Amino acid sequence: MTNSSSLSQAEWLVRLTAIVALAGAIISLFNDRILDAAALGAASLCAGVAMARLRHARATLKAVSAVLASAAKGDLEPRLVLTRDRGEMLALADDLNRALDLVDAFVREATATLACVRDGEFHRRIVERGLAGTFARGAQTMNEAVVTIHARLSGFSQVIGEFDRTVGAVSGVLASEVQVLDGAAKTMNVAATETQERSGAITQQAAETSASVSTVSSASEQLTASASEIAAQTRRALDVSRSAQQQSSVAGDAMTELTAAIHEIAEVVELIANISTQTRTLALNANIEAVRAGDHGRGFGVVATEVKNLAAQTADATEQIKARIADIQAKSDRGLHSIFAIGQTTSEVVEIASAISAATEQQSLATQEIARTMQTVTDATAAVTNNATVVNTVANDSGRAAHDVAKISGALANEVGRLDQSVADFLKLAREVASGRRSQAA
Amino acid sequence: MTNVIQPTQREVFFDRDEIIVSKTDVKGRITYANRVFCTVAGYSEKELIGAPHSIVRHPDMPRAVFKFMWERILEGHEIFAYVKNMAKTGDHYWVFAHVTPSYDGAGNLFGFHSNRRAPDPSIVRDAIVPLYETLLKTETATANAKDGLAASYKQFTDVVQSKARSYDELVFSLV
Ligand SMILES: Cc1cc2nc3c(=O)[nH]c(=O)nc-3n(C[C@H](O)[C@H](O)[C@H](O)COP(=O)(O)O)c2cc1C
Repeated sequence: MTNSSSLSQAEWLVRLTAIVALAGAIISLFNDRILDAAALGAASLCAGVAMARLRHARATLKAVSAVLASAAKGDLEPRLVLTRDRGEMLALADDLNRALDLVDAFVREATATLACVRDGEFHRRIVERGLAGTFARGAQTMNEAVVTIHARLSGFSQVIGEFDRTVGAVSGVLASEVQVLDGAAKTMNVAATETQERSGAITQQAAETSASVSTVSSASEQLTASASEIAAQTRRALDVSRSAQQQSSVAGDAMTELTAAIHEIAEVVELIANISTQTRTLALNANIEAVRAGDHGRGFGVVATEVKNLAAQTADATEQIKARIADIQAKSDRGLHSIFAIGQTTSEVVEIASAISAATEQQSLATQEIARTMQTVTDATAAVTNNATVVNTVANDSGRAAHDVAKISGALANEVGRLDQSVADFLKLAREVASGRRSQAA
Repeated sequence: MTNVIQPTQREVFFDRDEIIVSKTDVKGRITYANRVFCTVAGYSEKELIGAPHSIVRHPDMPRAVFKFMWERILEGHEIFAYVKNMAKTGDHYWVFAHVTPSYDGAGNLFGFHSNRRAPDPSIVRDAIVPLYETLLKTETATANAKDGLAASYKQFTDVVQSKARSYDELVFSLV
């Protein structure tokens, strides 16, 4: 009894009342107390009807309880429909339905609105109309929250847009600048390489020129040497031929004197020959005298014969001398001739040697000129080589610098790319956050 | 049953604090109608439970609106719509209806739920009535009902597209 509800107690009491009344009615009937029996019977019947009504109420309450139990479990769907009661019981059912409708409406609205916010849609509001009390206030707060979130995200989007415009623009400019830099570095590198190649070619050509210049130089030196050699020899030849000329003229003079002397000798020999002829004649004459003189004359005759022999011998000797002189004369003539010829030849030699000397002098001058020119060329070539080396070094340096710049611009491009990427990533992320598409994923 | 009632073109109103609530099965048959619904529509709970929701359909409502509504809720979306309903008396009452799908604990669709608020009369007068009249004209002007519906449906979606990014945004821009 203590555990049962007032409804159960009432049911028990009504049932008891029905039974008691029924029992009373039966007893009264047996005691022929018809009126009492009728009254008690009616009471019992009323109690029976009351029992049925109570059962009805119990069913309604059970239904209410079931709906509330579902709601307590979070199931807002069940409602009390077709409640077969009126008055407070119907009001109870209606109130319960109204309460559930309110909660249901609020939950559906709030869920849908917040789902929109979750999905980045901010047009949705909880329709506050029809919501009452706490629900109305809750709906209002939530709507304010949606508006605030939207405003913040809009502001955030604006900031992102600003960021995109500024940083994005900067990184865009940076990227194009880096590209320009890279292009410049490439051009510079190409120019440096070309310069290097050209200066290398110049150096090589200068070296070749230098080699040929030194060949010419040494050739001209040899030429100078041989020219001076020729000059010296020519000088010597000139000296020798001059002294030959002198000597040949001395020889010529001597020859002339000799010829003259021979001539005189020939004249003397002629005289001797004449004398010997005369002597022979005299001797003959003496001989004849001697013969005439007989014995006295014999001695004389011997002398005369001796003189005759001597004269014959003298004639012989003069004849021989004459022949010799003729021979000498012929030879000295030839000598004179050849000396004259030598003199002439020597003069020619001197003439030629002089010409040679003059020519070698000129040649020497020309060679010196060549040597001087060659020196100039050598100096110029050295200067070219020097300059080319400097150019090469500079080109090398600028090539290296270009390479460095290219490397730096490459690294810069990389950095700019990364900056771009991170900016893009950041913006994407930020936009996702701003649009609300990120909130769950994060 | 609905064709018996003749529209009176007399408008009745319900309180701004009240919500007309109904639940239906997936076919649109009423499984629950709250007290306000019964009162405003003039039907008893008994008459409504098990009846198709078109019991309160007003002939002035273009079919395109219901087609759109059904497409949306069958896709699992909620929808807000201005609807002209007809009471048992033939009088009409405008509602700003919110229809949502209902799912059981396992996530299966088992019916729909609708909350209806009293709409802003100026929105109904200025925006909704002219639009619905146009749509209805398109529907009735075409001999073939199917073609008429297709034409008015296109008209409806075109109007929505011309005015907002989405139907939902358009509806909430009116609220
Ligand atoms: C939850 C729910 C509520 C609905 N409420 C209404 C309503 O208030 N008025 C209405 O005319 N149709 C309502 N409908 C749509 C009807 O089911 C029906 O599609 C519409 O009345 C058109 O009827 P017809 O197809 O016979 O032309 C509702 C449907 C659902 C699912």
